[in-house]
Amino acid sequence: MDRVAVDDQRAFPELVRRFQGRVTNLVSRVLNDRECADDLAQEVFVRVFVHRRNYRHGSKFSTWIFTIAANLAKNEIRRRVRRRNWFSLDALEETLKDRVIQLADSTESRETTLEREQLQDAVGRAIATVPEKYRLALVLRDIEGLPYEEIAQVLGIPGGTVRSRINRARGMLKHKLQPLLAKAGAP
Amino acid sequence: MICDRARRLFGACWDDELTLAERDGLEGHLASCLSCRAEYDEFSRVLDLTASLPRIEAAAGLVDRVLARSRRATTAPDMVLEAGPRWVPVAAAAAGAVLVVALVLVGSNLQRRAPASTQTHRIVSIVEPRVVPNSKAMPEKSRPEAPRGNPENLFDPDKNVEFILDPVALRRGRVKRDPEGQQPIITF
Repeated sequence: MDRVAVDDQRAFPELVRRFQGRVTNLVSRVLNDRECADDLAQEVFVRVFVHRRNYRHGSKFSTWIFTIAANLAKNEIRRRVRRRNWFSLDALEETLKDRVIQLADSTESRETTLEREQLQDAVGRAIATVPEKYRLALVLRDIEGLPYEEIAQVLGIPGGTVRSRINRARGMLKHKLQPLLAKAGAP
Repeated sequence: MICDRARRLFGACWDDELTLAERDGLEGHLASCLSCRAEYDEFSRVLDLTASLPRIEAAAGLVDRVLARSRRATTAPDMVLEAGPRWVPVAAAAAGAVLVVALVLVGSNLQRRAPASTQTHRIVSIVEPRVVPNSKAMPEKSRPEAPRGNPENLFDPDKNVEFILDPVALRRGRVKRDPEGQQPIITF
């Protein structure tokens, strides 16, 4: 990042290559929207470039880039909420019902790739319905594997609040996935 | 350990943040409480599923698109460096403004006071204006003498006359003798 800040021509593409996967994954999991995630990931890197001279060298670069990504994802969620064009809880419940039926109907091939993909898809959708402030903390912790201290920096909240949000998010996710797990786990 | 306390430790257990005593207490409780055991299994499955979600890779060509856009983007100013001395021009401008205002106030005050201090000028002596005859146009003998003791003449040329003058505006005035009748005073 130091090289990017001093306009080293080769440093920025290298930085994008190194972080593009993590940024895309974070934004995708928060939004559960692949296409939008690509656009947002692009925007994240453009902002890194534009504000490259404002990067504080004492902090971790991953914390800084995740902060930008989290803020953009948050803005996108709020924009969608305003437009009321987002995946509703009712829609999730419908989807989960469909998945449960599909899983129940396909007991012989439970271990197949298709089944696993369906389960993952359902989990992704369930995560997307967790309220924004809990969702971001959950994704940063349980998908990106960031330590609590770094999540606190990214979200700009105290460590205790991070823990409580993650606990609540996990509880909500478990509650949402309960019917699916119960059916999938049934003999 | 009671069920409520045990369930509150699930998250910390998953994150491996329990003390040895807490871990022993939780494991002991899970071994004896089927309900909490089932709850913890479900909790673990959900987090396992979440953690095992496949990573979503960046779209092909993302680097090129980012580079193309960043070439068009304008670099933001260096806020980190500018953050320190930013107050200096502001403070200097404020000090300058205060100085200008102070100067204007002092200047206007002086202007207001100046007439008061020079409002009256006491003229101790005055020389009566003399009429200088045009020697070419009029012979010396026919020149009129300067009027002496003429009642129309305001001033006695042999005495000092005191004038009180308004230095700002000249207006028509009138002569007034002072109570002692010694010196005429012109007021305007």
